[in-house]
Amino acid sequence: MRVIKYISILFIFATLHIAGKILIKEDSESRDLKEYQELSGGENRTKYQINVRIFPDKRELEGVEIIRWTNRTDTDVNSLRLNLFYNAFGDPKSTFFKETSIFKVSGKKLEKYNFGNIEIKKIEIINRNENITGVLTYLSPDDKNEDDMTNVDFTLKKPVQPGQTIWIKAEFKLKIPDIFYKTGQSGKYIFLAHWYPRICVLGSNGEWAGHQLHRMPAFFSEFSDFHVRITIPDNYKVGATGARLSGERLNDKLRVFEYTQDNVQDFAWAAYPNFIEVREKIRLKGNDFDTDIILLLSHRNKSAKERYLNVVKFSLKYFEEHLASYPYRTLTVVDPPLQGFNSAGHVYPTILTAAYLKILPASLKYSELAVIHGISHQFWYGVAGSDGFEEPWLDEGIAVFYEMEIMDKYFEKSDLLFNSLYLKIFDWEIKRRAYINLSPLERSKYLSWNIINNKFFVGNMYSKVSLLLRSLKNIIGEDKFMGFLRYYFDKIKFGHHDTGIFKSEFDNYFNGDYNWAFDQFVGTDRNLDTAVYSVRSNLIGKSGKYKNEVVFVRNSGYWPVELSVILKGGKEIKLFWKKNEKWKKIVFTDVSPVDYAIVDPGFKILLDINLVNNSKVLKKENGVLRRLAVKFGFYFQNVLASFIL
Amino acid sequence: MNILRIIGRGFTLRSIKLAAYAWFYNMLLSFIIYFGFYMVFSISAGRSMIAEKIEMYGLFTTMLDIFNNFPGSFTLLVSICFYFAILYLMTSVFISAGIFSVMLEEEKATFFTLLSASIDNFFKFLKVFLINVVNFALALIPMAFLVFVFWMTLERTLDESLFGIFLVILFVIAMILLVFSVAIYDYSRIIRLKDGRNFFFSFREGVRFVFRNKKNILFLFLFYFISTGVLYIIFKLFMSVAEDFLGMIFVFILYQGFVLIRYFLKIIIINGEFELIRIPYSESQ
Repeated sequence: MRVIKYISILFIFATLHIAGKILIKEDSESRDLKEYQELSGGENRTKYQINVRIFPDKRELEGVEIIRWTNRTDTDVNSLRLNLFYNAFGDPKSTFFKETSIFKVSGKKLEKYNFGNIEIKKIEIINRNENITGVLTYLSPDDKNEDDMTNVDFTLKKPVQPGQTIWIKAEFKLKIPDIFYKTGQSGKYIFLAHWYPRICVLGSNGEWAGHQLHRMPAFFSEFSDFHVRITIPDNYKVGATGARLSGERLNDKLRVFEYTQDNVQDFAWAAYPNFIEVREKIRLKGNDFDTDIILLLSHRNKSAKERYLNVVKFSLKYFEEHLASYPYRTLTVVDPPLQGFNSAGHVYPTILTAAYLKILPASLKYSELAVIHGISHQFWYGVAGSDGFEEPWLDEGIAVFYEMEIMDKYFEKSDLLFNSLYLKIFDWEIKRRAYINLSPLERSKYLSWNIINNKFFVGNMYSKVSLLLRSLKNIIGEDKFMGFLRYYFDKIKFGHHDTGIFKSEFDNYFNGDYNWAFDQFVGTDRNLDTAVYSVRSNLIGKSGKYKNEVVFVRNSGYWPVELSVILKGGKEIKLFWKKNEKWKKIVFTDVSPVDYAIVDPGFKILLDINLVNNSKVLKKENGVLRRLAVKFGFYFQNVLASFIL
Repeated sequence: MNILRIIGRGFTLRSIKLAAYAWFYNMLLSFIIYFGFYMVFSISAGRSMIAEKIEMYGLFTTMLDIFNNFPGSFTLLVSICFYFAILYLMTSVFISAGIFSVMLEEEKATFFTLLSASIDNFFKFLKVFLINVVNFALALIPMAFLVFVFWMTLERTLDESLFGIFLVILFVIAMILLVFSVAIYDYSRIIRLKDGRNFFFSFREGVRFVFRNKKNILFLFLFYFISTGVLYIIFKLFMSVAEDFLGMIFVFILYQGFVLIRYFLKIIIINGEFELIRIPYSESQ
């Protein structure tokens, strides 16, 4: 056995050496040995060794990838499933483009588009000397689209047995598309995501969970170790997932950047000659290392440096206190130049793309929002993995919940997502807007690709869930609720969780007290509307007392809620309506008539779709409405007065 | 003629009286629009306490829920804004008819003189306004074209440095176009009163005059923009206190002062325009 092992080692060594020579023609033997050691050592995770050279002028990339993969199930595996996501950008008939057409992209625009693709030149299992290049089948399990080539199955001559490890070597070539969405090249700016042949997740039942690439942001992958070498023209600056081991100049035209990162689900990278690199260190509690915050600023956005740095540091500190310390050594924020803006606002392990436009007023905090959302995903997706295709609510909904929390805390003084003279808007208000206008309302546990439009996805998966979590936090109490998320995160980190696990842990943690919450608002298409139906007060004869009657109703959904009845003179009657019933009538006598009744007086339940019917006054008094009218009239008059004379 | 001297001549009690005349109508219209808005909110909110809880829910959410649950109220609000904008424009024509006439005739600036001049000249000025709609539209065309060219260039060259340069160029061109189109409108009205011929003639002469006096007109309006800009900054500082009800009242009063001063500055500009036309226009006849 030992002899075979050494022969395998030598074989891999030779392969890497030759591949490296072909690609960059100048490799040292010590580097190859290091690569091999990287590939063979460490834990029993899937390992990727990728060696690429990019040709920005030709918009091409050539690469050799070696994947060490182990069958960790109890069943034989007869085929290998790989994602070739770059093919999504190669054909207007791909599922990605078909779904994109939903979003009103004109045919004319697609005609002008420089398509991209990935071509597998050769793929073999090197420790079995098995060439599988030609034995492939494209599968479209999600939508049965026969023209989609993003999910491919390679039939093996003999199965991979439980516990067996194989080394897959793939030589591939990318044609880099225009940046239409997430990835591609625009001018000299390049962002590569979903770019390499990636092995799908093998379920414990021995079934591959391979999805096609869809328009909506979704991801599902194994936690793996990456070692990537990028050969690129010397004038380019590069940022990528993980830590940079080296960035040596190869000759007067080329430079080699080498990156490594363990225990992540993906590898993405950016390159642009005009990046301004800013680095700052932060030491987080419990970590015995510093985390490098790396900003890659578009050269025209130097002024955004402090805005980015401050919000990154604040967010990492927030997570350190409220969830866990960021577990990686680097966090790279890419600030795309204007021409690469279509890559903005996306997240990959240890790297995210932000969005900054000088033209936007400082009162609009979109840049901070993108960074905070991205950092939230470093935890909920990056560390707590889930099948984003089938259960997008688990990463998006929870990430948005943290985003809202951090936005509120970060802008505690200025307050908000948008803060101007005329209008102030909180982040949660925008999320609530997306939710209350939902039509049709769906389960939040819903497939990421089976959607009507972007609004449907955002409203059901992002907003509804984040508002549910905020509402639960408000009624359970911040410490207890955040305590659960901390406990849960710790339990599932660096693994995959699903709705079943989340719900069962939640119910166990809170002894089933809130088991109605996820059943209703994630598992079904319900929303919530609790209202004051009527308020009456009648003087009883000459007794000087009033018979007061207030009726509360549940128009939609169930949520135990505080009720409050305020009498003239200020006396307050408080109740807690826990019983699951459609209506509740309260009748009582008092020397004072009812002034008004209100549902959820502390506004803890953001999930309620209608705040107008949450309160009712006995007698109409609209002093505040007058103020509101003055305010609106004032703005309108201001605009019109500009044209008078 | 020294442009600063022209501006200086406008700082008179008479100018304040003329500004007060315009301001009076503005106040009158304000009350009508406040009432309209109040009715919209009052009908929608009904017996709800949502507006009283605005501190808790926030203005955005309060409005969102009102409009979301009573979509008709939003349509009503938009309709009020639309019809009110037309009323405002008509009022503007009415006021300017009085002010321009009194300034030209150098009559005493009393309310009744201005009112009767407004009534006398309203339809003349309305025609001038309608012909100047073309003038305003023409001013927008180069802007739209520039924006189009910018996006096309940006898409093709992918050079973001164009973005900043373009914004500066666009702003400068927009300001110049704005000045000229407003000046053309002003001179159309002046010539209409001065000459007595039809509105096509006054429009054409207005255009000619403005382009013959480009430099002076640009200086006049530069003064106007700088002074209103400074005024706006001061006003904005005070606006930050408008959190509670008293603050709102304070800002409302302050705002009326702001509007009055802005009218006063515009009267100074119109006065300057009269001064400019007095010599060259009469000489050219």
